[in-house]
Amino acid sequence: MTMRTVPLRQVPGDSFVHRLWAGTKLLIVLILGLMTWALPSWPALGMVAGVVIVTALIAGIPLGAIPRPPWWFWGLIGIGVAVNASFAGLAGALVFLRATALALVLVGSSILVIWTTPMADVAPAIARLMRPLRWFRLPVDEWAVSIALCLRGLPMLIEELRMLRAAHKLRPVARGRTDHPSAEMGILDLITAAMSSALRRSSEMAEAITARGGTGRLTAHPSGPGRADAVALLAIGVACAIAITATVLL
Amino acid sequence: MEFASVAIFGGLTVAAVVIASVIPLAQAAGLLAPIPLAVVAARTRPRALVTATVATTAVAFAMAGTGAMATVLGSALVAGIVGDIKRRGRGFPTLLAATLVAAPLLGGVSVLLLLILVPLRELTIEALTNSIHGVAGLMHRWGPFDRVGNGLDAFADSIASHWWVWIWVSGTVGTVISLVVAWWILGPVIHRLRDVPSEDTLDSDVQATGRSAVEAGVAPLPIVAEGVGFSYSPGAPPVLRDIDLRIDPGEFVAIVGANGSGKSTLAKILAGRTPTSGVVHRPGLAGLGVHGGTALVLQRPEVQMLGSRVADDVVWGLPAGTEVDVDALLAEVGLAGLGDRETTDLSGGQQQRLAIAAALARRPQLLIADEVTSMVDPEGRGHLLKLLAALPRRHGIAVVLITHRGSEAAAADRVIHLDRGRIVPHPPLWMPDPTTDLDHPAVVESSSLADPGPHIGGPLMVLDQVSYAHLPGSPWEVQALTDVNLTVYRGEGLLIVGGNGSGKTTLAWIMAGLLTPLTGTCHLLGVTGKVTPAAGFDAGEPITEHVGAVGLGFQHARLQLQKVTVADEIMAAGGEKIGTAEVARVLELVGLPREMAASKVDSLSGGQMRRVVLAGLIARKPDMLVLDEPLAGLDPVSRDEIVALLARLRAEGMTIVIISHDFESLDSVCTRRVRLVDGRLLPDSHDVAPLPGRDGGVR
Repeated sequence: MTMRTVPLRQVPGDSFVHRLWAGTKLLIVLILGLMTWALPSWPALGMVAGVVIVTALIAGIPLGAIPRPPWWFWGLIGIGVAVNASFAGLAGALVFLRATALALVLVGSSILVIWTTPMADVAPAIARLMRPLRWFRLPVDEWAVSIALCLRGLPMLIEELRMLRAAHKLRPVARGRTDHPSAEMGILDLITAAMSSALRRSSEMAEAITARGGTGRLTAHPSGPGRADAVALLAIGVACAIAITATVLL
Repeated sequence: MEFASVAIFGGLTVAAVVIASVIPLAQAAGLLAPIPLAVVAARTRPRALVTATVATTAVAFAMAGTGAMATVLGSALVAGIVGDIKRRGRGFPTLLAATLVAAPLLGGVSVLLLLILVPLRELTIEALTNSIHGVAGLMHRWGPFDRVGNGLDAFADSIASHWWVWIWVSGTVGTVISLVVAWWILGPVIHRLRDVPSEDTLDSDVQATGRSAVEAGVAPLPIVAEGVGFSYSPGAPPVLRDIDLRIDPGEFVAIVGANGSGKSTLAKILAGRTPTSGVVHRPGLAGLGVHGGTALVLQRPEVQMLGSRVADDVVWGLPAGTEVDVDALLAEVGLAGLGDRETTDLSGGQQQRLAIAAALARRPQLLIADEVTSMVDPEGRGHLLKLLAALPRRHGIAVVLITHRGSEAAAADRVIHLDRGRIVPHPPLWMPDPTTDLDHPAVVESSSLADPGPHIGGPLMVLDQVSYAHLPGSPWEVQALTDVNLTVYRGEGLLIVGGNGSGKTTLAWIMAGLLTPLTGTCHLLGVTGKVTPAAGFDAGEPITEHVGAVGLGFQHARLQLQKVTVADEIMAAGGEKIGTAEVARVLELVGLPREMAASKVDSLSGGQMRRVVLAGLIARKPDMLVLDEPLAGLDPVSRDEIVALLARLRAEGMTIVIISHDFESLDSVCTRRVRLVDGRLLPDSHDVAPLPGRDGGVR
C-alpha cells in the first residue's frame, strides 16, 4: 500500500456526535447532499463546510485522521485554477473552486459519519429509516438483512482485495514473448480470482445463515432517535434556512 | 444463499465504487464496479438483483455519500442489463439491442437532473467551458496549435449553448462503454466460474416448511443412521457408504477422519440433510438453527460472524421476540464483557467461542462442531475443546466433534473413525495417547529441531530494528512490529512462531518487500551476485527493490492462484522462462502428478491449491521462501506431505521461513525457532545452541 487510504472505521471517542443516532447522521448527510446539489452557492457550500468543521471539532477528530492527499492532487487543482483564471479572471477561478469545493465537502460530510459511528449501528439505522417503505409492500426486512451482511462483509472483502493486489505484485512481469501465460493481461485473472473467492465466501456465509436457522433479529440492543437527535436536525434545518436566505439576498 | 451472494458481491461493487470515489486517480475501478452485481444478476432471479441494488445503494450512501450512491445505482442498472441477458443465454445482438434502448435513456437521466437543478448546471457548465477556453488560450499562444485552439473555443461555445446535447451524448456514450466493457469481462469470468462449487450444502427444514411449523415438531435425538450413503450428484462416486451409527442425548462423540473421508458430509446429514441412500431416524425434525433443535458450528471462524457486534452476533437470526440472556451466554463461553466489541476484532479462537454462544442461544439438543479448531492457535484450541467437552454435563446437549486431530478426539466418550466414506474399527495411525491433557494444550513436546546440515551459509536477509505500524500518525494507528532484529541465513529453515494478532503476517509482507518498514531496514544480501568476503560485510539492498526475489505463500491459497489451469498458473508465477517441461518438474517436486497440469485451478482441493502455489513459487527460483501458515486447515496426511516436501526443499538448499502458530509438526523442516509476541521477537526456549562461528538466534 503505497498510498495512505482513508480508513472507513470509527475514530475512537465519545462525544455529542458519537452519541447521536446513526440514522440522524445519515439523514443530515442526505439533507446536506441534496442542499448542495440544488444550491451550489458559496453560502450553501460554506454552511456545509462549517457543519463539517464544527462536527469534526465537537467529535474531537484529531488532525492525524485527516487524509493527506498526494502533492499532485493539489497540483491538479492549482492547474485548474490557473487555466480558468487565464480565461475568465478571478470570477473564473472562483467558479472552478466552487465546483471543486462541492465535491470535497460532500465526501467530507459522509466520511465524518463513518468516523463517528460504529459500523454496527449503520445497518439497523438504515433499516429503521426504510421502515415507512413497508406501506408500499416492499420487502424492507429482506433489504435490511442484505445491508447488514454487506456492511459486515465489507472489511473482509477489502482485505481480500489487498491480498489479491499483493499476490499480483509478487509475480514476474514478462516482456517479449506474448503467448506465454506470464505475459497475458492480468485484469481478467484478477477479477476471476476475486469472483471465485467471493463465490466461496458467499456459500460459506450462506451455510452460516442456514446454520442459524435463517434470518431474523439483527441487533441485541435496538437503538433509536432521542432528544439530542431532534436538536441536531433542528440545527441543520436552521443552518440550511440561513444558507438559502443568504444565497437569495446576496 | 441469495442473501449471502447479494451481500458479498454487492460488497465488492461498493468497495470498487468507494475506492474510486475516495482515492483520486482510481476511477478505473469504477468501470469494474458493475461486474460483481452482474454475476449476481446472471446467476440468480431478478428479485435478488433488486435487493442487491437497494442494499448496495444504501451501503454506498452510508460509506461515501450521495455521489457514490449515484454511481452504484448506475452500476447496478448496467449490471442488471448485462447479467440478465447472460442469464437468459442471449448473445451480443441482444446486448446491442438493449444498449440502443437503455443507453439513451440512462444518458437522459443526467440531462433531466440538470434541467431541474439549474444552479448546479450553471456551475458545472461554466467551470467546464472556462477550462476549455483556458486550454484554448494556451493553444493560441503556440503558433502551430492555433487552429486546435479555435476548435476548442468553438467546442466550448457549443457546450454553453447546447449543453443538453453534449451531456446527453456523453452520458449515452459512457453507458454504452460501461455496458460493453461489462459484457466483455463478464463472459469469460462466468465461463471460468462454472467450476467453482457454490451452493449451500446444508438442508434446512425452516426453508422448506417455515419456522413456526418446524419449532412444533423439533426432536433431533436420539438419532439413528442405518446404511446411510451419500453422493453429491447422481453417478458420482459416493462420499459416504453404509454408515450405521447412533447418537443419544448428552453424549460427547468424536468423528475422526482425514480430508476427503466424508466426515463433513456426515456432519451435514446429522444436521438434517437427506442422504441419497439409507435412512436417518429421528423422533421429529432436525431443526437446524431452531430452538431446541440442532446447532452447527463450522470450520472458518470469520465467515460465521454475521453480527457486527459480539452481542448482536449471539442473537443474529433469532425470531423476533425471543428473550436471550446475552451476557450469561457470553460469560459461559469465556467472552464476558466483550458484548460491545466488533466481531472482526476478536481472535479466531474467540470467534469460534462466539459461534458456540450463538448456537447455545438456541438451546439445542444436538451440537455439531465441524473442524472448529483447525484455524485456531493451540491455546485457543484448548479453550474451545474444554468448552465443548463441558456442554453434555452442563446442559445435557449431545456434542458431535468432527476433527482430523486424534488428540482432540481423546476427550470424547466415544470415537467414530471414518476412512474413505466408511466407518472403520481401528484408530487411524495418528491417534495419539488418549491421556493427552486438554488443560495444557500449548505445551510442546521437547522435540529436537532438524539437523542444520552442511548447507547453511552466510546471511541472506537482515532485518535491522524493523518497526511497522498500520496507519501511523492517525487515531487508528496499530503498532504491528517493534524493533525486530533478525538474520536469515542461506539454506536454513526458520520457524517464526506467533499467535493470532502477533504481527506475523506484517512480518511476512515486509520480508517479501510488499511493505516498507516504518523504521529500520530489511535488506536482501548478495542480490548483485558478487559476495566479497574480503569486504567483510555486504550491506545488501532493500528487499522492496527486489519484490519477487522472496517467494511469499499466503494463508489463503485461492487468492494467489490467478490463472485458469494449473500449467498456466505455474508458468505465470514462474516467469517467461518456464515451459511445460519445467511445469512437470515442479509439479512432481511438490508431489502432484504431472497430468494435473491441465486441471482447472478451481477444481482443486485446499491441499492441492497450496501445493500448486508452492510449485509456482519454486518455479520462480526465489532466493528464499516465506510461508504464512502453510499447514492451516489441512488434515494430518496432507500436513505430513507438505512438511516432507518442505524438508526436502530445504535439504536441497532452499532457504525457508515459516510463519505459523503451529509448531507441532514443523520441526523436521526448521533448524531454528524464534517467537513473535505482540510484534516483538523473543528467543525461543529451544534455541539455546547458536550456530557455530556466527551469532545465531536472535541478534
